[in-house]
Amino acid sequence: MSDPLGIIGVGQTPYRKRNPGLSAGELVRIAVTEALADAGVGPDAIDCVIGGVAPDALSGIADIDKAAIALPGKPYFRINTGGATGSSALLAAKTWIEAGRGDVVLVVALERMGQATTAQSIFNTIFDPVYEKDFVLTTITMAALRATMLMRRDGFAGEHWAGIAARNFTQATLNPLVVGAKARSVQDVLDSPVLAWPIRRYEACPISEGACAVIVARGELARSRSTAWIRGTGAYSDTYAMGDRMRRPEGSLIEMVPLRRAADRAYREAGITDPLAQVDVLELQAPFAIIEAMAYPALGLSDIDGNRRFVEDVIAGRVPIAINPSGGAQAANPVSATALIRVAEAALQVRGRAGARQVPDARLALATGQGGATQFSTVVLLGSELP
Amino acid sequence: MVLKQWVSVDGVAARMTRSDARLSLPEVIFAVVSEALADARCTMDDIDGIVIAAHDLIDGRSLSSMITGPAAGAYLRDEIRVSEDGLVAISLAAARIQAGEAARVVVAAWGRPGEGDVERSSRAAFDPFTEQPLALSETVVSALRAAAYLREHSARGREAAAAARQERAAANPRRAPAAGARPPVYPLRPEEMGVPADVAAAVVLGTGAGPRITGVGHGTEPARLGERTLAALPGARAAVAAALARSGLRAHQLDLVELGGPTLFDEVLQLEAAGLAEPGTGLAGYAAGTWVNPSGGAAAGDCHPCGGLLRFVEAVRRRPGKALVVAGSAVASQTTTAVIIEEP
Amino acid sequence: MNPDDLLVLPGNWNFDYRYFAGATASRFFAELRDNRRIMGRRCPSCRRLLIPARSYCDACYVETGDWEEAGLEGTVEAFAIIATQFPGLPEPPLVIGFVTLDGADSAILNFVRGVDLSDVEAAGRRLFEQTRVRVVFAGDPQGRITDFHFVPVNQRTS
Repeated sequence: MSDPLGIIGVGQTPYRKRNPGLSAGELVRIAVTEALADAGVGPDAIDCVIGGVAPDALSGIADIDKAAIALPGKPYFRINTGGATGSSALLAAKTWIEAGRGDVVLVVALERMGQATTAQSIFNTIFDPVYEKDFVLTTITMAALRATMLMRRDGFAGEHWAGIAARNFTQATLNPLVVGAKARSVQDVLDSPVLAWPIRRYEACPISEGACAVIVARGELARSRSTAWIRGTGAYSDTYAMGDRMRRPEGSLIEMVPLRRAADRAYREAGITDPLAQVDVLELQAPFAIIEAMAYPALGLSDIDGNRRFVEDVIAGRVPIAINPSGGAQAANPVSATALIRVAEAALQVRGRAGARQVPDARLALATGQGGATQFSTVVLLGSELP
Repeated sequence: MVLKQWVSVDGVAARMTRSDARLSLPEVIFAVVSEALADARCTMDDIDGIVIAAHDLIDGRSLSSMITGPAAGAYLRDEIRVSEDGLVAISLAAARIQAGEAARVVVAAWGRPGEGDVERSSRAAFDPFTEQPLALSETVVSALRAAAYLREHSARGREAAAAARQERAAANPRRAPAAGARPPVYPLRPEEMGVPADVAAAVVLGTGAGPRITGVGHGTEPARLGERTLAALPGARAAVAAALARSGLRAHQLDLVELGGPTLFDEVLQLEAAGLAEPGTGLAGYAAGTWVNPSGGAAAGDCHPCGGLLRFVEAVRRRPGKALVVAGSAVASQTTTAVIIEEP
Repeated sequence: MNPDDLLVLPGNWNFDYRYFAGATASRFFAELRDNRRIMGRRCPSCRRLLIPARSYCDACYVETGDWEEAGLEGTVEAFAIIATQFPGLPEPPLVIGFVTLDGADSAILNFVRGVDLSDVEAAGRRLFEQTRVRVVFAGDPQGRITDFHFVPVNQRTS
């Protein structure tokens, strides 16, 4: 790569259940203003704006991005890959710059799901109406189906899911952007009601609204600033059909094949051969503990046979890698923005600007994006040093 | 700026039907993408990137690409989806090849009014506080544009343009099956409307010997209709100017234009924005210019967000020397994309 | 501004659709309704029998071929026990499961009935052990996916 790309600015609103005092455009403006200030550039420096909004139904307004995000006079388009929307939008920005279409791209992801009165019934309408929608499929039951597969194959128990959840929710108390973060114990989670066994209420991510903005640039603009350099990326999609992935030779539903391939590609680009030793920080788009547990082997941090032990080490704080210092997607999961927030948090870490949640000497950080029926996976590796 | 490398159009396909219950939406997509692959003389094994344009509300699936993406080949491949007109997907797919991220990319878009009322769902894109109570829809905005245009200019050439558009659509062997046009909103007339059809289009882009994409441009207008100039399309003007600048062409060198707007007046505004007719002369220019929308445009069949990709396929199939494709995207052409295609 | 003075405008998001299942799925449902058979189509490339029937194989990107009938017993691959009511969705408790029917190469989703759900934890543990289920057809078939459900084997029809 002759002219490397990096993230030169990050801006985020606080993430809270609803914002009746702010319009969608005002939420975006808060994040964008902060990102421009962080980058030390004005709006004139922006060559292109890429928006990220996932299901329209969550805000109850179609194409809400057009009024809230698009800037007149600048090329604009919207990416939508479900939960991976934010990181897919970031990858589109990289594509744009590397194609020579511009040097500076503003990526903005917006979630306005506080306007939805029944989020889970909306999530039911993402599933196939012909064969599957009748069976109460939602994001929660989808997680529960995978959880039972993991429990049977690897011997995981409710304590493991509760352990991961308690760790994430407790870490979120250091992140001022997670409004109302409360430390939770393993017992708190285990004592909470079952939503869809084995998933419990205190394990499920809360409803969150908010906006996240990231500025990607190359050239002198990037070299002259505190920049999180893009060291490697990968993105893969998979079939919708969950039933086809139960006994698939390429890897089953719980092996996260697209995430594994995305990680392999990103590691190859970055020259990473031992991620557990070389990566300092992980920001995982894992709104449920089971998705985090599935991600470890896919990211090459453990192998499937040893994954239960690895999860126990994570819960006990015995792994040489910082996982979700922000609290991760489990603590705040504004669907459209969550994967961009993971990238933004990774950028803050390697730029040394993460405040109370800063990981000491964070030089290489990995952010994942995850959308659809464990279908759309992205990996972004950010480094403090030029590639 | 010069494109880093050529992007070629290796294969195209499009389908227009009306409420054909024999195929599910994923099956329609599979069929049209398979046709485009055959046209490109390759198989899905040769594809390393997918870019789709799909709208959840039109597809009646709240995260459409979960089910529709794999039908376009998103199986353990790098796939991304825009919630925009299909011409935006062409732009992003071309960028992926220029960036060296992929060698051969499938682009696909579709819309199926047979499954759901697109006109009604378009109302959900307007502001619930200030616009939705006033019953705005894509068609109502087109009517506002027509009224603004007729007030600012004149109706000279209006009948001739509408007749030429209908003739061109009737002569298009690939037009949608005969069916009623969308009901007009005054001052629009039935013959000036688009024909809603179940449409799907697919394109294979690569670096082969086919026609080349030599310029791409994007333009964006304010969201609020009150802040827009309804009798002109400055966003389209910016998009076409940028695409022409990249290709190194002047507007008068073009042999063909395919304009993707929902009604005659949207197409005429694009024609003027492209610099191919002076403001106020677009209706007459449309009527006289046999190189303007030879496919018949939206009168031959249309559905957001597939319109721009349909126009792109039509332009490529006519083997133009130098062609311009223009298409507006949501909401009511707030953004416009322009693409230049040239025979090598 | 006083929070009580903020405008919160009620709205709804109801759009009517008519989903075209297509000829392949239509035949699948007709077989289910008229012949009490669960049919799939085999991919000529990877040789998998895809259940429920699809007209093309995602993995190989080719049209599927012959119709074949799957067995009426199978193995639960994944399940969830829905214990909380969500607005607009069916009333709990319910068990859903992906089941690979004998002879099939992909799993099909449906309700698993006839499971004692008085203790959800215990029911979950039991379902890990007892993975074999069989198909029970509805008495008044509608040509819908809900024309059948699963019950654990060794249990009487519910």
